[in-house]
Amino acid sequence: MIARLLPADSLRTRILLTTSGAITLFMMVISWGILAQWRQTLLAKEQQHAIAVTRAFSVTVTEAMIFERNDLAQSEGFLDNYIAGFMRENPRLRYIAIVGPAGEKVARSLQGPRAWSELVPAGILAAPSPTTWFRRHDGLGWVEVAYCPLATGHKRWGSLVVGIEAESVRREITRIFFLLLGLVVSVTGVMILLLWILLGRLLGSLRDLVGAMDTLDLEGSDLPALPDRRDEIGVLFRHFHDMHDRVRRSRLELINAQSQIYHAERLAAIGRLASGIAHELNNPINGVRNCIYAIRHDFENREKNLTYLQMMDEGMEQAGSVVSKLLGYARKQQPVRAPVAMNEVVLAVSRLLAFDIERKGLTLDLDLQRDLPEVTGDSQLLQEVLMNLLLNGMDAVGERGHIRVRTWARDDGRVGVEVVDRGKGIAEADLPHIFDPFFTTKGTGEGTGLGLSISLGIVQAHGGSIDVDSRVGEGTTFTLALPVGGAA
Amino acid sequence: MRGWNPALVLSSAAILIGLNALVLDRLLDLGAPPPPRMAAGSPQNTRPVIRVGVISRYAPSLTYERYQPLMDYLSAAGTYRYELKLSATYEDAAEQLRRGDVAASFFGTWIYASLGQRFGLEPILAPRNEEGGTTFHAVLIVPVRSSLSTIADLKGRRVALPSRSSYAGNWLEAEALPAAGLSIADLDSVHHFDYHQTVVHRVLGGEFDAGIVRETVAREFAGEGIRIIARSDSFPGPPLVIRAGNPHPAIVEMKRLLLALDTGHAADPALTVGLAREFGHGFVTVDARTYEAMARLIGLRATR
Repeated sequence: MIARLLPADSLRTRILLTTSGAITLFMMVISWGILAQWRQTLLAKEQQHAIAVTRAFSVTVTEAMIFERNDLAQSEGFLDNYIAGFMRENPRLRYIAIVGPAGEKVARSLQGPRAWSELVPAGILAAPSPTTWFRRHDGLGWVEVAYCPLATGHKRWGSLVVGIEAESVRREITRIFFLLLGLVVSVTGVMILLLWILLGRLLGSLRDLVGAMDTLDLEGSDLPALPDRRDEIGVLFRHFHDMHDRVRRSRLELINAQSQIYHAERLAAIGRLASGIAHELNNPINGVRNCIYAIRHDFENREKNLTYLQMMDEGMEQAGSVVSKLLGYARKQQPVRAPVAMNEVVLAVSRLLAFDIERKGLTLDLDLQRDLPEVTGDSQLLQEVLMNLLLNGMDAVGERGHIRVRTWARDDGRVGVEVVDRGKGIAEADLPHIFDPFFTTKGTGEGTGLGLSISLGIVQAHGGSIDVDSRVGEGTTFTLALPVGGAA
Repeated sequence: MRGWNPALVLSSAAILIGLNALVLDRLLDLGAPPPPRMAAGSPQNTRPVIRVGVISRYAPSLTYERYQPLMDYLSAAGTYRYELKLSATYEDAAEQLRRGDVAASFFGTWIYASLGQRFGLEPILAPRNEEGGTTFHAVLIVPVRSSLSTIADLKGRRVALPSRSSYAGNWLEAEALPAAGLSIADLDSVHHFDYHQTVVHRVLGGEFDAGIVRETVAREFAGEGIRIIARSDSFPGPPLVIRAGNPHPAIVEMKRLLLALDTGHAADPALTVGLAREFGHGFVTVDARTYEAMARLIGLRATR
C-alpha cells in the first residue's frame, strides 16, 4: 500500500519525504519554543499566586504573633486554628509551617512531611523577601514551596513556609505539550496532504508534457494539444512548443544540407569515375569515327555502309547507355521508398566501376545469394552506399588487389551485403572515427571524408546498420545490414 | 538521491519521538535551585534589649508599622537593641512603665496628664507637628455627604469616639458639647473604640453619624469620604515618658538620638518612609509643665 502510494524512485516521494521532514522538524522546534515560553509564563503565574496566597496569610499570622508576643490576648492555639482554617479554605495547600526569627518551631499543619527539615529547608529562613521554588516530596509529589518572611520594618517575627501542590501544573504542561504535539502533527499532516495533491497536479502536468514528447513526430505536423496554463508549467509547455518548431526547422535545414552533400559526394564520385567513363565513351566514339571513315572510303558500298551504320548505332547506343547511367547516378532525386533487390544494386554499381576495376587490374568477386528478399528503400541511395564502400575498398587494395562482395539473408529478417577487401586495413585508433563527417586518412584532394558518414546516415534512415571489421595489413570487411521490408 | 529508505525514515521518526520525550521530561522537571540563602545572625542580636512601650492608640499591627521604624532607627544608630512592647489599654502602658517592664513609653497626652504625676512619670520628648510646633488637635469628622456642619448638629446623633483615656475621647464631652450648649445626654448614642482608625471606619461605614479622632489620623483618610466639621483647641503633643529620674544610659541615648532624628536623611530609604508616617518632623524636648494645663482640665472635670 505504502509502496504503491509512495514509490521509492518517485520524485514526488522524495520531495514529499524531504519537505515533510523539514516541516515536521521546523514545527517541532517552534512548538518547543512556544511550550517553553508558555511554561515559563505558567510557572511565573503560579509563583505570583503562591506569593499572593502566602502574603495574605502572613498578615494574619503576623497579627497573631504580635498579639502572642505582647501578651495582648489569650492567644493560645491561634496559629494552629488559623493554619487549619486556611488549609481547609485552600485545597491546593499541602502544608504550612511557621518558624520563629531564629528558626525555632512555632506551628505547623497536620498535613505534610513529618520532619521539620523537610518542611523548612535550613538557611532559607533568612531570605529577605518572599520567594518560591519547586521541589519534589516523597508522597506529595511536586510541591511549590512559598516562603514569606514575617516582619514589620526590621522587626522579624519569623517565617512562613507554605507548600502548594504543583502536580496540577505538571499536568497542565503535559496537556499543552500533547495539544501542541497534536497540532503539529495535524498541521504537518494537512501540509503533507496539500503537498501531495499539489505535487500530483504538478507531476501530472509534467507527465502530460512527457506524453507529448513521446508522441513527438518531427515529420508530422502538429503536437498533441497541451493544456493552456498561465503558470510555470504553461511556460514549460510553450517553450516545448517553440523548441519543437525550432527542431523541425533545423531538421528541414539539415535535410537540405544533407541532400546537397549527397549530391556533392555523388559528383565527387563521378569525378573519380571520369577516366573510366571517358574510356567507355571513347570506345564507341572511336568505333563511330572508324565507321564514318570506312563509309567515306567506300561510300557507294551500300551493303557495307548499312553494316557500319548498324555498328555506329550500337556505338551511339553504348555511349548513350554510359551517359544515361552516369546521369542516373548523378541526378539529384527526391528519396523514394520502393522494393529494392540488393543483388541488382550490387550489379549496377559493379557495372559503373567495371572500367576502373579492369584498369587497375583488380579482381571483383561477386557472391550473390539467390532469391534474396527485397528491402524497402531508395535504390539510388543504396547504390551510393555500395559505391562508397567499393571505392574505399579499391583505394585500400591498390593495384591488382582483390575485393569480394557477398550478399546474404538471415533468419532474423535482415539482408546484408559484405564488402571484403584484402587491403592495408584501418588503424585501430582510426576505427572509432571512420564514420565521423570529414574524417579521412587519404591525401588532400583524394577524399572528402563524407562518404562513410553519409553512407551510415542513409543506412540508418533505412533502419539498417553498417559494421566494420578491420585489421591493419590484413584487410577490411564492411557489413551492410538492412531489414527486409524496410525501416519499421 | 536514490529512493527513500524505510529504515532511514523510521530512525528519523524514532529520533523525533525521542527528542519530544526528552523535551517533555525537561519541561516537567519543575525543580529549580532554592533561592540564595542569607547568612543568619546579626551582631545586633547580641546587644542588650531596651523595651519601649506604646499606648494602644492603633491596632497592634498598625502600631508596629508606625513605631517599628523608630525602633529600627534607634537600634541602628545606638548601642542597644530597641524593641516595642505593646499594651492592651492606655492604662496598661502606664502600668508597664511604672513596673519597669519598659524603659520608656509613647503615651497619649490625656493619659499622661491623668496618670503621670500619680505614677511618678516624666515626659522627656514629644513629636513636632508639621509646622514644627508641639501642639495637636482633635477633630470632629462626618461623612462627606453628611448634612451635619456644626457641633450643635450632633443632637440626637450617633457619635464614635476613641479611647476614654485619650484627649480625643474626652474632648467632645469635656469641651465641645458644653460650648455648644449640649451634653452627652443630648446625643443618640456614644461609643468608645480602642483605636482611632476604628472610629473612622465606623463613620465611613455609616454606623455612626460622626466621630472624633486626632487630626493627624483624619488627614490620613483625606479623600476617603470624610470631612472635618470642627476642630479642638490645640493640646500638647503625646509625650515619650520615662519613670521620673530613671538614670539608665539607654534613656540618654534614646533622647539624644531622637532629638537628632532627621527623617529626610536616614540611611535606609525604607526607614525614611516608615518614620515619616508618625514622626516625620522630629522631636522636641518637653517636661511636666507642658502638660499642666491638660492635667488641670482633667482635675476640674473629675471634681464636677
